Amino acid sequence: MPQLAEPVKTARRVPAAPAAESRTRRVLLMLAPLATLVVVLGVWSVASAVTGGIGPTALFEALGRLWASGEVIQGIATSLSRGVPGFLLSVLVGTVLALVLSSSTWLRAAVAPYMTFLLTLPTVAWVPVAILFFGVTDATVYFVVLTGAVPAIVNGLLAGVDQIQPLHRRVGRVLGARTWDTALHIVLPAALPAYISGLRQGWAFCWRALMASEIIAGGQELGLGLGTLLQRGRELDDIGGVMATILLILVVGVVIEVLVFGPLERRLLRRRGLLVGGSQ
Amino acid sequence: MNGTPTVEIADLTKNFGSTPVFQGLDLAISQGEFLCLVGGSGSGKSTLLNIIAGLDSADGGTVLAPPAAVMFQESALLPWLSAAGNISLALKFAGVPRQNRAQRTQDLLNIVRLPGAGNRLVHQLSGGMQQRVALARALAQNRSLLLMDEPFSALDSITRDFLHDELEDIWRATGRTIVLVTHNVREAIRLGQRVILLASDQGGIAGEWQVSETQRHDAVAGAALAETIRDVLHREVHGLAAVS
Repeated sequence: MPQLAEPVKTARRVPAAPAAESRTRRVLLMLAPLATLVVVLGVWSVASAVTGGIGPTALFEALGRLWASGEVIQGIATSLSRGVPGFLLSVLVGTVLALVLSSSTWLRAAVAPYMTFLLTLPTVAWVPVAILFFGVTDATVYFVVLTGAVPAIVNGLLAGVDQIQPLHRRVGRVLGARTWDTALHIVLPAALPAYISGLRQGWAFCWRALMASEIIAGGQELGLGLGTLLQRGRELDDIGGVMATILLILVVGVVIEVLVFGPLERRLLRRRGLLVGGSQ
Repeated sequence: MNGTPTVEIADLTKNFGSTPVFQGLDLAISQGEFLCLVGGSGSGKSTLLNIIAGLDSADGGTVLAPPAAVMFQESALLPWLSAAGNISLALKFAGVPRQNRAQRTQDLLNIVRLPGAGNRLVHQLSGGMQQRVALARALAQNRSLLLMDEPFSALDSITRDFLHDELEDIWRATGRTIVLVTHNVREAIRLGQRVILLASDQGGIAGEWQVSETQRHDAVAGAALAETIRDVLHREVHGLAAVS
């Protein structure tokens, strides 16, 4: 009988389980967009030094000037004082509309294509229409914000509803859920990941629409929002002021993303076991 | 069966396109009975369960059945809720007042022997635990008829045996009528008082057997009956003959 060779024992490194997302890592991830901003400013700085054009220094000088005059806080506060209520109103209208559309094949077939049509239409196109109807008032701003944000929220929620597992709907039926119970306790939570994507897109559209309406319709009547500040910079040929305002518009958008939508999405995915470190 | 029928099916017909699933099926299920439905793939086991539950419609005939609680092959727990949340939602839909739900949820978790698992999310539960929570959720509806569609098919044999004992205890304690669909003949004999084999190509019942207490609990006594049912099932599946 041939002798079998002694089994050779070799040391093997057992791959470590992925660690739960640490707090430091989460904070660093939240700050990642700022790193991009630093890189962009660096590239701009080099480019301006080479070409002799306006560099980031002019931007920071203008930013300092706007801060000292209190216009940074005033601009952000004025814009957010319309942006936040406008967005919340859009969420309410968009959610109810999407739930109603999802409950009827005929209604959805009749209305949903127009939501996509509204999404493709630049919101700025509504500003002149709104001014003709409402004048330069808050109503104009809210009208433009709603036409921008509502279709994104409706489409997001409808996409989520389409992706609901048929089994979850059947669970609702066998548990005896009524129509409203099904919408609230089955459809909405099941569609939540796509719904949050829709909300995120809705906020982006809302913010853009708000800026567009402030730039075009801005004036004494609407107060000093960021869009009005931007328009004033253009009129005064103040490129530093214009760039500083663009930076502020970007920062507000990023801050909302980092503080609201990012954590909301992570919490949702973790709760459903779809994120590393999601067991806790 | 001698008891009062709680489910009465008469002359049931159902087609999937041009393929007949049931052609004049008659079936009566007594109050408090534990009935197991077996059959080959495509014999209509799950379809029959869905028709009784009102989740699917028949093409003809009559089906009289009380509102039923249903347990699916997968746990079908709602992944955004905890174990307790899933049970509590069923209690809410059943009209249980808010102030009574927490205690009732805990009672149900105790019944399925998961007293400490209420706060766990669905993905934190094993397959067996998920099916026990699904059973607790089905019991939360407090309906006299419980329909179970291959609820243990995805579980390992040890967990399955454990859940068989648990389900039998619950059935005895609550007196519910249970209709369980399974492709596992051994499971059908272990749990059912009566086993019905659905025909694969005739759209009706291919065989029916009463199971004694001894056959249910003594593996040796049950083996002969299991062999008989398997023989008929194999002939059904392979289309060699139809036995009634």
